[in-house]
Amino acid sequence: MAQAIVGRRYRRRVLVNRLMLVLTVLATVISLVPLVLILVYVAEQGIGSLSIDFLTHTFRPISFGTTSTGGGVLHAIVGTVIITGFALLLAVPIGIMAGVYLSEYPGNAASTAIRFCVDVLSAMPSIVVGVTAYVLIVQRVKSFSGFAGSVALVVLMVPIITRTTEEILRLVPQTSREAAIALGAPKWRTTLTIVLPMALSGIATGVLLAFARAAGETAPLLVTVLGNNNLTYDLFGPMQALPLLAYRYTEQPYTVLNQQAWGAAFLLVVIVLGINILVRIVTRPRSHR
Amino acid sequence: MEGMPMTIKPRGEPNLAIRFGAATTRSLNEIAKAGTVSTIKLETRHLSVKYRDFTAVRDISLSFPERQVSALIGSSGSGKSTLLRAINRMHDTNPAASVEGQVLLDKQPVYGAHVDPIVIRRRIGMVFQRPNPFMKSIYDNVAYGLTFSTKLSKREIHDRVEEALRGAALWDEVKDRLDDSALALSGGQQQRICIARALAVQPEALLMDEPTSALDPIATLRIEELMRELVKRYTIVIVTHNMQQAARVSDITAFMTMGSDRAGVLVEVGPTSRIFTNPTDPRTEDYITGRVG
Repeated sequence: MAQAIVGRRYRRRVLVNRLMLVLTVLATVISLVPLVLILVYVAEQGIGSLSIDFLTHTFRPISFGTTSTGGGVLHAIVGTVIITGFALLLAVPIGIMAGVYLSEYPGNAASTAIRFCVDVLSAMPSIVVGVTAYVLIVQRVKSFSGFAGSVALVVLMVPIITRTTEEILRLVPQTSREAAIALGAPKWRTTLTIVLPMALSGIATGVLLAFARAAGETAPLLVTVLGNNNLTYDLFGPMQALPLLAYRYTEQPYTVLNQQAWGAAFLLVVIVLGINILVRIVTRPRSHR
Repeated sequence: MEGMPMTIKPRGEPNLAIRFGAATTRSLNEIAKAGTVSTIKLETRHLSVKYRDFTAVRDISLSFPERQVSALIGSSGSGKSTLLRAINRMHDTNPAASVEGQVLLDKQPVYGAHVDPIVIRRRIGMVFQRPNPFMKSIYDNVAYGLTFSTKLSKREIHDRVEEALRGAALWDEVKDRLDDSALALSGGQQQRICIARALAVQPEALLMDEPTSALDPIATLRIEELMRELVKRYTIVIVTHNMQQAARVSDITAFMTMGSDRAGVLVEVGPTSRIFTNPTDPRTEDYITGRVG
């Protein structure tokens, strides 16, 4: 009897099962290798540049023969915060409202068209968006500006916010909407007071992810924000940003600046990683205790 | 006229397996004692509901008397819920649904031109199959319907919330934790929150779509007792799968079934006692004796 139960086919199945398990684990490890390599290498190269000076000073001109440290990247941190922050200010209302429309009025011609456009936009190469902003804004006003960079980032952020908002709102049970409607609530009030509050943490996730994505963008800033070695709060003039600074400094012949580029890259990775971890914490399923 | 309780004389011995609860006997006596035709609060005339090309409910003409419980019974797919949702214009929110025929509230057309569906829904409250309190506190759940289109002071809102919670027989259980989340309550309590929420708006009629199907027997019993209490002030229409429930709580019973083209149709309507003891249509008899459905 025992012979009949543990047959050849059983052993085969166990073997295939093990093989597939090994393959999937292997694939996971391979996909994680670049992440780990990047994190380790950037940390290794960049952590040395980190210092109080690095975070609190701006660019200091370098001359040969001195032991100048090249100052810090404060101007780039400020620039990144202002440019991405302003972009967020524009992108959040647009993205959320578009997401609400797609979720609450699905199936009509307009929402189908909008959804398609948003998908196309999210697949748009960021340099194309940057060049468009260059042509439409920088060339018109004849000045590079943080503002032009913000607008380019808005275009990159809106699709992310819109689609996450839509997906999250669709998870809100229809019965909650019906309950409010049956009490005589107008649709807009139902959306505003019942549907949106239930989806708040999910929408916050979308916003943070969009922010993280935009904070790391270099290409669109390259042709719009240009770069600036001085600390400036003027959104309508050339500014500096962390990814931009990292890119510019790697082109420099000075080792000090090359080192600072690594430092800026490391800082950027820490910010983006920090936001992703924050998202994890915010959306962690709450224990019912 | 069918659907109107004239004087009711129990006709001989109940010849069917269904036993009536005390509530039914009492309500029948009440009706019998009153002995008069009560006013018709709600009425449907040749009402049909379509989802695109599919007719879900066809040509239903029913009268729901004021301050009585009317039960819609029938197997799944017989269009009971669809019919119920047509009464307070819930189908308006579904672009695929279309309603033909008439619904009358106090003889006024519910689907008339210039009739605001929001006003209709405030006059005809609704309780759903699954308890669906909002992700808010107990207090905010009940007060929700008062936060718009009424200009009540905080004091008045508080009074209305208390009154509604008392009306739903829930006040004593929750008065000390009104700020707790309504989702922390038990299923039966959640359903009574939903009833209180509907009552706070001070509707004239209450539509209940299988309000106890997600509840345990004890909670079910409490809701049924509550219905007998509420019917003194409100006109109630209840959809139920549970025939014993219809027998226990309703004064009028309408039996619906799925027609050959899958559209829901009305088979028979009458005083609950007659439907359960002496149905005229063989399909009704088959259903209530448990031969089908």
